[in-house]
Amino acid sequence: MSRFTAGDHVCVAFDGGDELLEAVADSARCALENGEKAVCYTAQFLPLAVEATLEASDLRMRAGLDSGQVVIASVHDAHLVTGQFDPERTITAWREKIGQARQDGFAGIRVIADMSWAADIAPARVNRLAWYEAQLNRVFAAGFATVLCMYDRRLFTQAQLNAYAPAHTASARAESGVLRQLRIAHTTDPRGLRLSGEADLATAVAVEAVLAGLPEDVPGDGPLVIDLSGLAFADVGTITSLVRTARRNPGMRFASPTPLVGRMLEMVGEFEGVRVNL
Amino acid sequence: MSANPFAHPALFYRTPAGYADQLGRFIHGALEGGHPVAVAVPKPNLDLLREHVGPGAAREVQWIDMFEAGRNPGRIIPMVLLATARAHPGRRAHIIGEPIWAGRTQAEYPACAQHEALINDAFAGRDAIIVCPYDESALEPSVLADALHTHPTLTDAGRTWTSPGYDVQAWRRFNPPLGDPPEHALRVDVADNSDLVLVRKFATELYAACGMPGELTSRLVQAVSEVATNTVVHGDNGGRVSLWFEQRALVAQVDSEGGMPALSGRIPPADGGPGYGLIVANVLCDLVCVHFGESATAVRMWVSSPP
Repeated sequence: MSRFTAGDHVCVAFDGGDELLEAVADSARCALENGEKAVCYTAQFLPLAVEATLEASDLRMRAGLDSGQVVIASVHDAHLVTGQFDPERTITAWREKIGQARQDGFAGIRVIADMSWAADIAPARVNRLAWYEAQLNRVFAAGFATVLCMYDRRLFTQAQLNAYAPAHTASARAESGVLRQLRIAHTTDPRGLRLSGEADLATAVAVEAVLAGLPEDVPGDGPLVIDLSGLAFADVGTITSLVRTARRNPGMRFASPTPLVGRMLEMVGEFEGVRVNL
Repeated sequence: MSANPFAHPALFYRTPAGYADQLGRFIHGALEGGHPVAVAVPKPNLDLLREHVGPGAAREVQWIDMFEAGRNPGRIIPMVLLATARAHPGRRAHIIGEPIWAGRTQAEYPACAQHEALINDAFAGRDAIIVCPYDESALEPSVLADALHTHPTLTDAGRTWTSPGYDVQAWRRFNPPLGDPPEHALRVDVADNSDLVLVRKFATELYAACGMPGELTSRLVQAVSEVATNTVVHGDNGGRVSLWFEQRALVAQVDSEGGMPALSGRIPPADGGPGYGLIVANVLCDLVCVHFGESATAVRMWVSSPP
């Protein structure tokens, strides 16, 4: 849990309630140790049941629950406020909750979202959920929230998971740890974005959503800079998204890519007829 | 047939003097006609021609060392031939392309002949002429016979006539099965997009253990990741990646179910579409061999240290 930091938006595939409860306890412990707020939106369990498990796992939990540093809520307080899934409204609610945690003086906010409620949404709405998960990266790229979306493998098909996972910046399997990870962070000076880690098909939707959110997601009017110094790998799909973002934002610059990433940007830029500023 | 403005003649030569004379005439004729000219041939022939046409004409021509640009024949169409055509929109590009020379290895040759054949498909309908010189004094008779299959016409830079052996589907002749990777190869199954990071991790570790320079490793890791990505996007059942090491070369093979168009990796995608993956592999690798099967595709990639 501690390996995840602010800005991470992780798709976690898990098997069964025990793994879910373990993740909640882990997250809360981590938050308590770091002065962060911990929030769990539960669907499989009643909030009271989760609280009881937390208390049993760690003596400090009761105090955390009482003070409001640890909050266990029903998914109806987050994703299903209006009784049905309303992505735009839910995204606004995320912004408000993160803003409130900042105001309350927390160092960050750690969220565990039990996505079980979404398992039986109509096939026509699957794309809607993927869109929602992708748009959340624009919120989380501000770098305050650490969000784990928990997908129960007993409830979701592999095809569904394949559709949702690339809308996150990382995927993990509860039993074996992180499979790969990208970090996406908005920057203010210079104005733009920092990508680090590895970007491939498994992060494509998240990257595309954050790139499409430029420039409005970063305040100011200076030229955009995409800091690639920490980007160890980018597949050509990611490179193409970057080049097309440069086309939409004249004057945008890519800073410090590895030699290979730089070479790929120049190559795709030439194919796409886009002048790439390195 | 006559509606196709594309011409792709082979030119057989025996001596440097004959080479310079015939291709020099081609270059001068093209320049006099106001056409853009690019020459992509092995370095010694490049120097010979540049000397022969004189400094005035040499300045008008784009000179490309085919030893470098065409080391992997798979990159010649996207990065040399189409790039030249793209640089001169609306004009008839005149190109000399010599991808086959006596030093080509057994592993390289089928890819070279496949490339020659696919030029006909890649350039069909495009306004361009690509002349391919073949060294009669040094190449095997079978190689010269293959050139008759892959070129619709033959030329001596004066006269042009129909090739007696031309086969419109010639690429199928140069589509040998790649065979199985060696027993000791490291195998990684790719079922969905979360497996790609594992492919890169295993490849990086294996190749690093071979003691090859990191630059070579990162090129092949990129290439194999792109081709494995294709199996997730296009393949029905994912694919299998095999990784191994040969003398002075890192090797990767990706086997997948499902066929693939023979021009994959040769033509950049139309705007908005995907399709750069195999082009990247062609650009970054020193050799890429593709077997296009009816219901399966195999791509083998080499990155080697300089001799």
